[in-house]
Amino acid sequence: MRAGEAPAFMAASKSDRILLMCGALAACLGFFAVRLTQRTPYQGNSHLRRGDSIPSISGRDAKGELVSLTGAPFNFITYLNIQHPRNTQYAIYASYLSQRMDRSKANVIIVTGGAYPDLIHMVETGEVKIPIIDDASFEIAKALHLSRDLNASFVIDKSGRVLMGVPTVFSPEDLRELYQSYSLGHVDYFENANAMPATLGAQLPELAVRDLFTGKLTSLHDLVVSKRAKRVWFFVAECPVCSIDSFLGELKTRLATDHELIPVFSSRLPAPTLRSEAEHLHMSDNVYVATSEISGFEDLLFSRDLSNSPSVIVEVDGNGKIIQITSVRLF
Amino acid sequence: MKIVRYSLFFVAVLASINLFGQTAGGLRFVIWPAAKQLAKPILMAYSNHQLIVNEEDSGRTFIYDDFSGKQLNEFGGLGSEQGRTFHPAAMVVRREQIIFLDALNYRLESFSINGQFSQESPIPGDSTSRTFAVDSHGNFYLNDPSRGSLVQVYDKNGTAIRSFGKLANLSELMRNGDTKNDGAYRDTANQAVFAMDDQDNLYVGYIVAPVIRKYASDGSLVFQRDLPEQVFQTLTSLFGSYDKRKGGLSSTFGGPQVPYIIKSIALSPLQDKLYVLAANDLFHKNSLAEFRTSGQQLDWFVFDDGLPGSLFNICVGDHDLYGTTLFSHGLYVTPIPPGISE
Repeated sequence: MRAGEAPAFMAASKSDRILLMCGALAACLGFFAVRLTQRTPYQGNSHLRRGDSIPSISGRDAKGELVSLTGAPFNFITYLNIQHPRNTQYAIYASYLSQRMDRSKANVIIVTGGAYPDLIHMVETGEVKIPIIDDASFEIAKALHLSRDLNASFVIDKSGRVLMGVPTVFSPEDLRELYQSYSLGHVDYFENANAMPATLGAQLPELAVRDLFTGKLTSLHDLVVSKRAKRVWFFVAECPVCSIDSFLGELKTRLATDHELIPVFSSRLPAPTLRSEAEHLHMSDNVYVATSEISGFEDLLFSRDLSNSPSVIVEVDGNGKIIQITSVRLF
Repeated sequence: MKIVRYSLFFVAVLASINLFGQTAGGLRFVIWPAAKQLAKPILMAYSNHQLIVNEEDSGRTFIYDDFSGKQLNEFGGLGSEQGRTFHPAAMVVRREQIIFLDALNYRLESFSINGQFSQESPIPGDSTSRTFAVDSHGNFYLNDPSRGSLVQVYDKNGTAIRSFGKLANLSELMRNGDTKNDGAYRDTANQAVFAMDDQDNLYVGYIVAPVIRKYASDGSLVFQRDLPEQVFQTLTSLFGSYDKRKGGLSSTFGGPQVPYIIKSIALSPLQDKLYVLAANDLFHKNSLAEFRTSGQQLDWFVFDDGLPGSLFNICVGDHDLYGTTLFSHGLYVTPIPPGISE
């Protein structure tokens, strides 16, 4: 613009100026609308309950495959909006259980309200084998009428009918019992604590364990005998990943002086998380992770105490017979 | 059976010697053999010589004869269908009905004493109440302080009909004059556990403060009492020095993380006494206070429960006090020693 010239905007006719102003206003409104949408992508305000229905809907999992939320007679869907280590643990267990499910009867699917890198990584490493759908567009959240500040779990049948909808993440035991209840029509309850394998006088159960660092697979019994171990320290807390730091620190201290101790972590614990933390602490001793779940060791006697992240030390004789069980508190 | 009961009592007294100092006698829970197989029972109630216990993991409810220990019935399971529950927050027995606050399924669910499903009532979808009571008209009472009162009353169809109970400030409950946290802790301070007698009087224990209240059926305040002074001082100090990094029985209640001060309240079968189970530390040391339902303080104990999990819930039988822990197996019992009453 040269000196003395009127600005192009002022030089335009009145109708053109009005048109330009309207255009600018529309652009501003559009800009702020987009920003607003980006800030609050989807809020949701209600919950689906038993008897409600959802439309046929699907999403792409971490491998890019299309997954229907109503693909099986019973679909166990957990929608994660809040990232928490316990949810990672749920994914591990759900994956474990789904391998044992009758896939013609049931599907287990996790949907995340936004990226959940830990879970994606676990899919990539093969640790989690169930579909993980990143619901970036919140289309699934909308279909499920899901509030953005809640996790939720659903059981939905093939027709889209909601059999169950609760504003929480199923616990592993919930998932096991609900799967059996809906899909098999009966639930195997652990009727008698005394029948659990971890009782005094019993042999250590045939539990396969994997060395955390080398990946070598062995049986716990063989390990105890070959190492002449006298103690097996099971870490079987309700939420192992919640207290992994304090446990590993204590474990490192004890392993420095107690060479007859074998630490075994719950199969519900994400091994990559454990390995990463152990490496961070420069732990070089053998640490083992159970490769399968054995009723009684995951829920060992009185081990689960909300208040103080317990673990259990099982003392054994030279033949692997249990001679004492002690609950160990860690703070 | 009397021999067994007396033996149990003497074992409990012997076991408790030197564990206490505050009061005569002792209180020592031992596993109740009839229910030792229960996996993580938390909710329980006592009615007409029957003990009703809900198992947390499986959602099943078991009914036992208190005298013989015989299991009389079993019903329920996990789920949302009628007749099932999903980790109910509370359970009461009223007028031969076993009623659950099945909050995750947004409802109250009632069963006959034989375990037959009888009805369900919707609760507000945004309720965060972890306790409830049911009156003689079938109206139910919830504790949602965010609605501006301590107690909200709904009819059996889930329609709100009234509310009562002035909200308390944390500083008032703690008697410390420290008002700076009153605003932030307003809803948390008014989290409560309820018990209701046959005359529809409502007893309220504050979860984060060593204080109880009684409301008459018309919603008027009958009395407010602190727990015994020695316990009161310990518990207010426990609250003030709470450090969540050290663990212990605590919850967020939708706000700041706070320790459980009062864990459970229970009426005696004759409804002449109210028992208050409170913390003494955040792990296994507990306080038990006994009041007349008229408000008179009778006695109190401090005891180590000696249990694998923290003692969390109590109910009172004709002769015994039953207890459940959080997330451990079995049901526990101790005789109510003569020392705690007159």
